[in-house]
Order: sequence, then structure tokens, then C-alpha cells
Amino acid sequence: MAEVGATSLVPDVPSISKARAGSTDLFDRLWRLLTSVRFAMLLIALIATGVLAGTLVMQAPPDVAASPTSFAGWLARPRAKYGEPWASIFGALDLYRVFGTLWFRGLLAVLTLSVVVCTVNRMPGIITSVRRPVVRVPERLFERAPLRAEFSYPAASGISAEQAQLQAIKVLGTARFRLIPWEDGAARAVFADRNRFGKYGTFLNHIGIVSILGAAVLGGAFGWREDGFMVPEGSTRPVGHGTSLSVRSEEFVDEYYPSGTAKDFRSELVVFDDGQEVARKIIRVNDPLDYGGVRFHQAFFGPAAMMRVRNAEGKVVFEDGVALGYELTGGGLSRNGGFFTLGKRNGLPTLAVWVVVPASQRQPDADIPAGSVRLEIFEPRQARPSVMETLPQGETRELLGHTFEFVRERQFSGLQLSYNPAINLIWFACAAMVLGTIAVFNFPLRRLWVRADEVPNERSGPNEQGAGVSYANVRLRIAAVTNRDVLFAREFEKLALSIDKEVSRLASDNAGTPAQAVPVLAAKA
Amino acid sequence: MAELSYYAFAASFITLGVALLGYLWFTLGRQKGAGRLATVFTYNSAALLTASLGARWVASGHAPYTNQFEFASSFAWGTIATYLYFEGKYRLKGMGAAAIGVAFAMLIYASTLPARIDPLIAALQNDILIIHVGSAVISYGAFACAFAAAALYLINREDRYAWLPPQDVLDEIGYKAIIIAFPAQAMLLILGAVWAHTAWGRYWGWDPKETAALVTWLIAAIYLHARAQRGWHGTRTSWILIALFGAVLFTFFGNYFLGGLHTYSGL
Repeated sequence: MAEVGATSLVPDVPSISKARAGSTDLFDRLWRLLTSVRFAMLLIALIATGVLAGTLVMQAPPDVAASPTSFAGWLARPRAKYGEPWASIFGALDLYRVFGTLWFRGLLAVLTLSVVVCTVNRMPGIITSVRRPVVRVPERLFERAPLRAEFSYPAASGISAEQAQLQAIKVLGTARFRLIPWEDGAARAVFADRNRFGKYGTFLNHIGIVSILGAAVLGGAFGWREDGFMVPEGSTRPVGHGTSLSVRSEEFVDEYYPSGTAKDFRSELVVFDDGQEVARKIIRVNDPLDYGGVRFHQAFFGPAAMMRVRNAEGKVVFEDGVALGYELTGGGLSRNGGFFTLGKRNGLPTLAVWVVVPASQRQPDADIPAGSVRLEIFEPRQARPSVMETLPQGETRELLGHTFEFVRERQFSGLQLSYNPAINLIWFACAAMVLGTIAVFNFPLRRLWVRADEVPNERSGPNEQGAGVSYANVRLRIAAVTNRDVLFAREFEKLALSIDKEVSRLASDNAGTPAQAVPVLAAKA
Repeated sequence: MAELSYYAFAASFITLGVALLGYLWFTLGRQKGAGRLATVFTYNSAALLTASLGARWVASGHAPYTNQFEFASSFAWGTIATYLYFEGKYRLKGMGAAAIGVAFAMLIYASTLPARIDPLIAALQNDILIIHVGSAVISYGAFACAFAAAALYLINREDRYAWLPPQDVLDEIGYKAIIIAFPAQAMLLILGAVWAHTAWGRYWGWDPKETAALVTWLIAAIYLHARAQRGWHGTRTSWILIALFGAVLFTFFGNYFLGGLHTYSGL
């Protein structure tokens, strides 16, 4: 029997990796490593281990990890928590800032490279196999394929190869297969496939994953965020980061359930661009304000003091809210404070004024009665304040040539500001990743070949022309090449049996007696 | 409504206990009738648990996904629902003892937790909550079934026990469960990212619970790649499924020791 069509039994094997398999060139070895699924599995396992370590071992906050001095100071915490030698071992392995370390980022980079190389390597082969599948397969495929079935119908049944082929087409068509009939000499055959575009899901998924990682890098490079942006009620603050924006907090409100848990926090914000109002919104924890990609999130809140300062001539030199957002502890006391500066000489402020209040109303503070603030005024290059003064609300004090007035208590809105130009890419990439996964697993490519041969009756011996149709046995064979897919193995079995059922029915109609089909189902892969 | 929720929970708990005994009797005592009984009780338990969670939803005005009791109940619900899907699809009761065992353990755990109905704190006031945690319910339920199938696969080596489902069926169920769980886990992570972007302006913050869920997803990715590798399919992939469920439990109970941004959903 002549072999026709393809030379490869397994159409999906990428030709590139085969061609390179024998080479020992460094580039080729690297290429083969990066295309290896086992290597990718190892990388994912290493990344998972790293992530797990980052979950189990306490992590320094990103701003602490970024500065060597604050990180060195922060290391006291793990020492207290884990004790020696564990604290030092974790430190040596750089486990306190896993997600920022070179080795973790390196693993992500190598995985990305591996996914890209795998995709580039497999894409041409898969596209070819989807667009121009191997329709005509050699007969030996039906003897060797991992999934195969064989039925034979006796000459008495009056079945022809063409009839068997038509029944197969009927059954497979009902099962939503695309069908390409072909002939090989006297044999009638069918190529059938389904969900051929599902195969592209793997690209969609992997491109999605790579794009997420790429977008994360882009967002890190071109975006910015600020976590502790405090705006007292009634005050306006510049956003900075190269923008011409400023933001004003009109009002902050916090509400609680009777149990004391938070019910609602909200700030009414106004955004100005070059001094012009461009946006206004009441923001909540789950409802930020977005202006041109710059997002203002309600994050926290705290006390603020409205201060007014006049100079010796009686002119107002400072009139603004001061967010008391710093926690100051020491001497068994816990206080909140914030500062502002006055004057300017040689580019440096002449005075730095700290405004301090007790952290909690419930904890009395001997130096700062309720309704008062304490001023601590520093002169340039002085470690200790030149003046400390308690100032009740509505009163004024003359200090260091200025008149200080504590106008009233207010609150500040603690905002998180963020700008990420790559965020939409993230969402598209996530959608691609999930849709790709669903396509691959729920619409898997199914492909099989059916072949019906008319075999001359064994007793009559071989016949070059092919015996008369009604005198030949029909041998019906079905084969599929699969990647150890149990679900397909099960469906293959079902399809093969229903093709046989249809052919057998036809045979019994022809002969008036039940056909003697002999099913031979191959063992599962 | 709150009362109804408590009673329905208690009834579901008892019913599932009976179902578990039925499945055990079916498997160990080889009683077919016990299996039928177990299935009926499991359906009833699922209905009662649905009623309990639904009543909580009505009583509190928010999805029952905000404290550990509610989440443990939902986890059990997801496991029972996924199990019943596979039992129906494969007409197979031999996995019941293992899968319903996991669900029952989760209900025992839930019953030790305070079952009060809390108002929704500010940070959780977002409709993404419903689908974010809903994805977790689906994925954790399916991971639990994959675990049950993998454990039985490892026990029933070379199909030595006729009273357990055959290995190829268990392998297939494990795979199908992961096909459900893997995209659901991805949705869980993505919806978490969408929410974090809304609430804090960052889609990813290496929060401990977030990273633990990522580890789970990564292990599932390893499983899916390993299945296509020669020499990995079978025993090794089953061990991966066991590890995967370990990661799920680690994430689930992480509230106790991980801290981070998900602690508000603690006790």
C-alpha cells in the first residue's frame, strides 16, 4: 500500500527544535533549555517558592527596603521576631524584601524569556498545523497512533468503503467536526477536526502573562504613586510629579456603626489644573477620583490644625491647615504632629514649626490639655526646639517675632495618589490570559482520521484491481494522535463506537441480518 | 432571617454528617443502598446550606463573604456543589467519602467560629466582593475535589482496590476539576487586582493572602504543564494536586498568621 501525504506521524512537533536537537552550539543549547517545558516548570516552582517565602517571612515595606539606612534600622524587627540564627539566615538569603530582589526579578525575567521563546518556537508549527492540517496520513498511522480503533464488516453485509466513509462523516458531522474526505487508491478516508482555533488559546494565554509582566515594568518605570498624601480640610496641596495639578479637600467625614467599626469615610475633593477647577467628587475607599489617569484614593485620615501666623508688621505670612499625620512616641506618651515652615533665607526656611496634639482624647496629656496644641519651633540647624508653647484654640502667642494663632481643629484627608499609564494594558492582558485558558481547556483541538479499506476476501487471495465491491470485507480504521488527553480518549472511544453502530445498522439493513462487526479498540495512551 | 440562617446551617451540618456516614458505608461496607442514601442527604445538605447562606445575605444585606464563618460555610458549599457535579457526571459515588469528608471538616471548623452577622465595613463596600469571593468559592471547591480524586488515585495504586474508583477516572476528575479551578483562581486574582486598583490605586501589592493565592495558581500551572510531560502523568501529578490543596488551605487559614490587607475578613 503506497504511503501518501505527510512524512510525519505527529504533526504538532515543532520542526525547529527537531532540527536543532543534534547541535551543541551554546546558543542552541540555551534555546533548547528555554523551549523545555520542564525547565519552565522548574522556573514556576522556584518562583512559587520565592513567593511563598515572601508570604511566610516578614517583608520590609517598599519605602523602607529602598533606603539602606532605614532598612538597616528595620532589621531589628525580624531579629526580635525570629531570634538568631534565623534572623541572620533570612537576612543572608535576602528574604526580607523577596519581591524586590535581583534573584526574584531575574527568575521572572527568565520565565518571561522562556515563555517568549517557547511561543516563538511553537507558533509557526501550530499555525501551520491549524491552517494546513495533515489531511492525508500514511496508512501506518492507523497501526501506530496512540488512539486507534478498528472494525471489519464481512463481505456479506454489502457495505462498501464509500458507505462506511459516509457514515463516519455523518457521525462526526453531528459531533461538530470539520470534515475533509480524501481517497487513497481504493480506500476512502476522512480527516476530521474540531476547535482548531482553540489551539491559539495557548498563545493568547501566554502572551497575556508576558504582557502583564511587561506592563508591570512599564508601570514601574513611567508611573508613580504616593501613599501618604495629606490634605487638611479647606487646604490645597500641589500634586507634584511633573503635573500642574493641585488638590483641595473641602470636607472630610467619618461615620461608624454602633459597634465602633468603620461605616464610611469620605472626602470631598476638588482638583485644579493650573489653578482651574477641573474635577470635583466625594471620594470613598472604594470610589476614587480619576482625572486624566491620576487617581485620588481615600486611604486614611487624622487630625489637622488650622493655623494663622502674622509677622512683626502684622501681615499674615501663613494661614493654612496643618495635617497632624506623624505619630510621635516617647516618654510614655503618644502624640500626633505635623509641621510647617516660615520665611526663607538663602533658600532655607527660617523657622520650622511643629504642631503637636495627644494621639487620643482618652489618654490625657499633662502638657497638652484638650482643645490645645503644642508648638515646638526650631531654628535652622538646631536639634532642639528654641521655643515650646501650649496654645489653646482661638488664642494667640508672640513667639520669635511672629504671632501664632490656633484658629480651630479640623481633620485631614489621607490620600493615596497614583498614576499608572500601563493599567489598561494590565486589564487587557488579564482578559487575554483568562480567555486563552478557557479556550485551550474548554475548546481543545480534536483531530482524527478515518479510513475504510476494501479488503479482498482472504480465501480468494489478493486482487490487483480490487475485488467487486459486494465481495470484499470492509476494514474501517480510526486513529488520533493525542497528547495523553484522557478526555479525548474517552470521546474517541464513543465516536468510534457510534460510527461502528451506524455502519453496522446499514449493514444489517443491507443483509437483513445483524452484521458481524469486530471492534478492536486500542488501549488508551 | 438570621435565626433561619442558624437553623438551616445546623440542619445542613447534621445532614452532611449523615451523608458522610453513608458514603463511608458505601465505600467500606460496599452497600449500594447507602450510596443512594448518601447522595440524597448530600443534595439536602447543599440545599440547606444554600438556604442558610441566602438567609444571611438577606438578613445582612450583603453577600455572605465577610467573615471566617461565612467563608468556611461558602468553601464547604463550593466543595459539595463541585462534588455533586462530578458525582452526577460520572455516576460515581466512590469519591464521596473523601470529598464530602473535606466539606464536612470545613463545616465542623465553621461551627467553631462566631456566626454573628456583621455590618459591612467601609473597606468591603464594593460589589466586586461578590464575584471576587465567588470565584474563590468555585476554585477552592474544585481544588478540594481535585484533592479528593488525587488522594484516592494514590491510594488505589494499579487499581488494587475494586471498591475505589479506577485510577483513570480519578485522574480525569482531577484534571476536570483543575480546568474549572485554574481559570476561577485566575479570576480571583484578577478581580482582587481590579479591587485593589479601585481602593488603593495599585493592582498588586504583594499582600500575604494575595501572594498565597498566587502560589496556588502557580502550582496549578505546574500541574497543567506536568500532565503533558512523559513520566509525570499519574503519580507525580497527583502529588502536585495534594500540594495544591495544601496551598489552598494555607491561603484560607492564612488570616490567622499572615496579617496584611485581608485581615478584616478574619474572625
